[in-house]
Amino acid sequence: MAFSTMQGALELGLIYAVLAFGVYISFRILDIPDLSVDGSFITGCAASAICAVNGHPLFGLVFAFLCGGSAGFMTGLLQTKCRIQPILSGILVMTGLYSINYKLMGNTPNISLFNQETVFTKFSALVGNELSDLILCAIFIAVLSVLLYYFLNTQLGMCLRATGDNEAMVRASSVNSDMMKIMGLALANALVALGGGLLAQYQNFADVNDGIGKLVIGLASIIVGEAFFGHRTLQRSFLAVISGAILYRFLLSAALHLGVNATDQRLLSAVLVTAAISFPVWKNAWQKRRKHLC
Amino acid sequence: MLKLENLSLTFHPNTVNERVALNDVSYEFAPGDFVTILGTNGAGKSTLLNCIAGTLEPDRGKIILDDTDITWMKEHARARQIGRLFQDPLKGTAPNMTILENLGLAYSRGKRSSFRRAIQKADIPFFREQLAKLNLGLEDRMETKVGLLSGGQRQALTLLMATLVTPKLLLLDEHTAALDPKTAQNIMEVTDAIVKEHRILTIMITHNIKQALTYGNKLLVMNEGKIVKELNATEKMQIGVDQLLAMYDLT
Repeated sequence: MAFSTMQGALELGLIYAVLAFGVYISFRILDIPDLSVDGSFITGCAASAICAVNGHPLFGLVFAFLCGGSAGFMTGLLQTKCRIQPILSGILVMTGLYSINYKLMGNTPNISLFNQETVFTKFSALVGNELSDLILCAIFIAVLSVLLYYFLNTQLGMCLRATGDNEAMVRASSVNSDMMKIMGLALANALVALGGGLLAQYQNFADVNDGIGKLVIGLASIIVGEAFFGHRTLQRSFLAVISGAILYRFLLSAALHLGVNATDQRLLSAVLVTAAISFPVWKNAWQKRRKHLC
Repeated sequence: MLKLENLSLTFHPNTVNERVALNDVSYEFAPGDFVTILGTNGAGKSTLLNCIAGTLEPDRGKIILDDTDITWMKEHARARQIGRLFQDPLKGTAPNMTILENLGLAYSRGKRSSFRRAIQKADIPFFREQLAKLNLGLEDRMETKVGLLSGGQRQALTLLMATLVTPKLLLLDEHTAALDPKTAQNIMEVTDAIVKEHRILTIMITHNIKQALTYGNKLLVMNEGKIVKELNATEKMQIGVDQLLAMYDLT
C-alpha cells in the first residue's frame, strides 16, 4: 500500500472514530440499538457543509453536534415518553431525518465544498505541513477522548453507564432513568453528527443519500477493536473504539486495493460484523463437539 | 414516620381476572420501627411495598412519609428517602461496574451534582470501612466488577448501598429468600445491625417464620389485601409457630 493511501486511511479512521464513539455510547454504554445513526450522521454532514459554504467551518462542527443532539433527543423521547420500541424509534427518526436533511441542505441532494474554507484548509494554512490533516484529526480525537473519559467518570456519566447496566438499580438510587436514556441518546447522536460534520469538510462534499450503513461501520469498528483490546475497563474500550475505526479503514482500503468494488463495501461491512459477532458462538459449539468426540 | 391511609388497589378491575390486592389498608409505623410482614402468596405484601416505593400507584388512599404526602411522587424522586432490597440479588447492583463505582453512585443519592467526579478520593476510606463491616473481604476488592461476585455478596453490597446514605425508610422484600441458609443468616444479622445503628424505619416481608419472630419489634400478618393481625414485641416472643400459621387464614 502506498504511503499516501495509508495516510488517507489513517485520517479517515480517526474521523470515523468520532462516529464510533457515538455508536459506542448507545450500543455499549446504554445497551440500546439506536438506528437513528444513519440519519443523524447525514444531519451532521449537512449542518457542517451548509455552515462551511457560508464561511463558518468551525461553527459548522458545533452546529453539526447540536443538530445531531436534537435528533438523538427525539429518539430518546420516542423511546421513553411515547413507549415506542428502541429499534422502531430509531427507524422513525432516521426516516424523518431524511426529509429534514434534504431541507437542511437547501433542497439539494448534495453540497460541494471544493474551493471553500474548511477546518482542514484553515489548519493547513496555519501549520503549512503536508501532514496537517492527519495532525488535526489526531488532535481532535485526543481532545474528544479526554473530554468523554472525564464525562463518563462524573456523577452524571456514572448514572448513564449504570442505566445501561441495571435500570432498576438506577431508579432505586433516585436517578430518573428515562432522563438518562434521553440524554445518552442525544450525546450519542451528537457525536455521530460531529463525525459526519468532520467527514463532510474532509472530503469536501455532503450527500443526502450517504447515510445507509454508517451504523454498521460504527459497530464494525467497535467489534474489531474489542477483538484486540477487549472492554474490561473504560480505557481499553476507548482504545478499542479508536483503533477499531482505524483498523477497519485499513481493512477496507486493502480490500479496495485487492480489486473489491467500492459498492461492495457495505456487503463487506455486514459480513464482517456478522462474522465477528457470531465467531465466539461457533467457536464454543465447535469446542464442545470436539470434547464429545474425544 | 410512615402513615398509610385507606390504601386500596385492584388489579384488572371489571374483568374476570379482577383481584383485590390491597383492601382499605390503614396503618401507622412509628419512627424506628422494624416491622416484619408475614402472609400467604397473593396476600398483598409485595403490592403494599410496591405502592410505598412508587412502583405501583394505589387506586385510592394516601401514603405519608414524615408529613409529606408521597402517594403520587415519582419512584426515582422518593427513592431519595427510601432504600429498597429485592429477593433477586442481581437487581440491586450494576454488574459491569466495579464495587467502588456502585458505591459511588449510591453515595450520591439525593445530593447529585452532575459534573463532579463520581468517586471522590476522600470518600474511599469511608467506603472501605463500611465494606469491612460486611465481613466478606470486599474492602480489598473494590476494583472488582460486581458481576463477578456471588449472589450473597451482591445482596450484602446492595444492602450497604441502600443504607450508605441513611434512608428514612428501608423496604426489604424477601431479601434473603434466594440465598443459602448460612449466607441468609449473615445478611440478616448485618441488616439488623445496620437498622439498629441508624434507627431506620424498616419494613421486611418474609416467608421465614423464624426470621419474622427473631427480628423486628412488630409483626404484621396480611391476608386478602388486609392487615389481619398485629403483634408487638412481647406478643411475638410468646407466640408459637402453629398459632401464627392459623393467623394466615384470618379475615
